[in-house]
Amino acid sequence: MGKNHYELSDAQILWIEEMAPGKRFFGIRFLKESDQRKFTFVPGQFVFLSIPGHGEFAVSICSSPRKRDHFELLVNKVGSVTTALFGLNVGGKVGIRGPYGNGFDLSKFYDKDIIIVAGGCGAAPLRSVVNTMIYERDKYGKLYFLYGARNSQELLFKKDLMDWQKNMKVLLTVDMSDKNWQGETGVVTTLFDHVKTSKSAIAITCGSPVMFKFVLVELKAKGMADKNIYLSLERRMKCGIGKCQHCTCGEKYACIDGPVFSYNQIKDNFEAV
Amino acid sequence: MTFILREENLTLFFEYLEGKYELFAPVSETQHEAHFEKVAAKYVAFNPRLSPQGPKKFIFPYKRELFLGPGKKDKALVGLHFSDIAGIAILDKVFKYPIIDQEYFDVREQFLIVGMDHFTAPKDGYDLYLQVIDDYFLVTVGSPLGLKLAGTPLLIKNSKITSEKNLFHFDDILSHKRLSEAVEKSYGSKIWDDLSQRCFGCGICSYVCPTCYCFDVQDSFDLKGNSTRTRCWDSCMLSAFTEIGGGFNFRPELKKRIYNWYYHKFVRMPKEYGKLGCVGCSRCIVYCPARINYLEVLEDVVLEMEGKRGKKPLRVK
Repeated sequence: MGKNHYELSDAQILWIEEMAPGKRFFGIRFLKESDQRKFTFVPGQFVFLSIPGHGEFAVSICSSPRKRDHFELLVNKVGSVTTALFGLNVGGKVGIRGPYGNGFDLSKFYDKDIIIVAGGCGAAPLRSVVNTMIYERDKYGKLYFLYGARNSQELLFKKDLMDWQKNMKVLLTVDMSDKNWQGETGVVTTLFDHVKTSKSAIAITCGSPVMFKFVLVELKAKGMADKNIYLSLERRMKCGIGKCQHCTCGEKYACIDGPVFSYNQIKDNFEAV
Repeated sequence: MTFILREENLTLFFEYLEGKYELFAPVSETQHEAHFEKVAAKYVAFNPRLSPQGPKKFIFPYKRELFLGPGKKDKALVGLHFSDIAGIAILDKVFKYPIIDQEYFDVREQFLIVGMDHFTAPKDGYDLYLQVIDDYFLVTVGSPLGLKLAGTPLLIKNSKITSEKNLFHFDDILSHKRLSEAVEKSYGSKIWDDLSQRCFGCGICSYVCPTCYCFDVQDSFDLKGNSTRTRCWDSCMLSAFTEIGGGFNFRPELKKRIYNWYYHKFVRMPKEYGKLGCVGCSRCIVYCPARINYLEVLEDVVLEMEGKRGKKPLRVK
């Protein structure tokens, strides 16, 4: 008799922050004290959030595992389940199962310079990485956070972006400027001009499939080794345990071999990037 | 461990099983097909005809609510062909490794598996297997439960007769040493473009295949507001299979989905489980509305890799 991976643990919404049109930031805590205490994960892992009757969706955990009393999710309202979630208020009940996925092994990045490149909602899993690194800042070299979004409204985690500047270089850009925006305009790859790192630097990126293509070109132009480039891939997910086949990329399952891959693992994969 | 079951005792043997299990066996109303149905023991006999749906629909139902939990082992699937047992063995492996899917086993463990075919017994996937030989059956035990059930006087312990070597023979192309390599290397080949002109993308191949197991999980409400979560079959051939919330689709083109189906069966599954995701039952050939023969497609793919396309066939048609 094995563990039934589809079983849910009850959790509730602690707080909701409207971060951008259609994008909400949730604080979630398990109802049972023991569930919350036992819940541990690695940055880059994800959970399935259920609204019984509507469905379930996979969402990256965007808080650091060091935060023990609750965890945080950034949700984009794109379909029926996320719409149902947006219909709940603080105190609303959801079902959670997880964590799933491989996440990042941050010990691989000690003493290295790190370039983190986020596009749109891709900033969510990367926030978990950054907030964990900041707890042990002295273990890493230079830290860069390059973030591009469609416009200034779509730049998420503005409070973190401000706080992070104490510990790392935060570079922002938007595709389309507006009268409130004083910063750079252009796609996220234009920010690479401001990045000075050693040859053995690590790059970590998450964003749309289109963004990956351009970011990889820039990173390779900088002479980065394939094994030092990490990507967090998004796919449709249903089971989370490598069975239903929805998340496959060639020989890999995004839910168990990923979602974090180093580029050398997938550069010959016909459908990963 | 093997036993002899005399032909005249076949019905008695199944009546003995019927005392403990509901029997489901392939029965034919027409000359062409068989269908799995609940039957009385007297109707259980070797049926050579192909059933559109093998035992997959029992051990991995088309639709089943989640969290129903396990049940009693009170049903038996009997008269299964060699290839259908191979299909069960593959599904059992898939749902166990690397992470166990308990929902599958909650159903799977409700069924006793009794095979019946002319071929030498398969390695696994069954409790008892009856090899049809002239006027008797050579019965092989495949599990501890099978051994327990073999403790009936109807089965005579065998030590003299060795299994007549009638090994199941895969089509030549499926035994080709470089088949996986050829499918892997064929990404982008015009073979897949041409195939996508013929293929309807209907997914019937997935529906009838004993080793296709893609599934979806869907929630619904009843009129009282109670919600249920149901697992149901899905097919990677269907257009929305890789569509995510917001509308982006990772495999919008039919040719990419067709390639993925072949890639899964002939490249990914061998890498994961050491077995081809194909048991050679030929259902996908029989039921494809476009009359696509996957064996011809595979032959083409291998010949293309070897640079011998159109020159020499690799298989006897």
